Amino acid sequence: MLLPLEESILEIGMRRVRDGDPEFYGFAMATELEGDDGRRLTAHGTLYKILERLERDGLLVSRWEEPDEMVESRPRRRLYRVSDQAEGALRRSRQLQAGPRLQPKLAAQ
Amino acid sequence: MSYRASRLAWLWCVAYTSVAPRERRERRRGEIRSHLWESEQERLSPLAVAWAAVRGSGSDLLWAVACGVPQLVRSFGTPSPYVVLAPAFPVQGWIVSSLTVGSTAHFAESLGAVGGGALLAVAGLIWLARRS
Repeated sequence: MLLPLEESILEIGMRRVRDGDPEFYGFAMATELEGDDGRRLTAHGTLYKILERLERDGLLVSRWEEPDEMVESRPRRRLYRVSDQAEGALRRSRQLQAGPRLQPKLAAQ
Repeated sequence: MSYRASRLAWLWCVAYTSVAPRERRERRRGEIRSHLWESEQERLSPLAVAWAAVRGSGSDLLWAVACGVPQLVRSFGTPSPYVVLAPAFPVQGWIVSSLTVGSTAHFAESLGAVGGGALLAVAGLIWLARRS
């Protein structure tokens, strides 16, 4: 089962795929996770640890920005995109979360 | 990085990633360097940058332990850690025997006399085993 932050990252990643801009980098994800104002930032350590874990689990793929994509003087970005397995994993995670809440009702019937 | 908060966050990143294997260390440092740069370009407050680093520090430490422990365990198959630790034995012997008396001081001196040499012997045996 995915953590809420992991689900949010996958949701945003899938929305980006639908919008035709599938790749994202850590800072952009942090600002999207915090809402439109983006003035607070998701904790660095938590965010990058989760991105690494999602990639290890095959739900994200990543690469370093190529030199021809970079703007001069800007540090290169690590670019992420959701993999083909992400949608299924997100659906399964939500089903698992929904499961225990149904059980008390079923028991009462 | 012009913010003091960014520089401190960067120093923290350099510190906790220093125990990780090179590939993971360079990746994490590259990501944090980019993140801090983007934070400054977006004119986020230094407080927000510092707070994001502080809130993530627990995860950073866990990440460092997860990366560093296997590397540390592997290093005990090489002579280096034994050579590094060997001088600690005589030093603790001098310190403990200067602060205590009786059997405690005697034990610390004995450990100091034998421990360093024993570790150097282990380092030598590992070196020979790796060489053959």
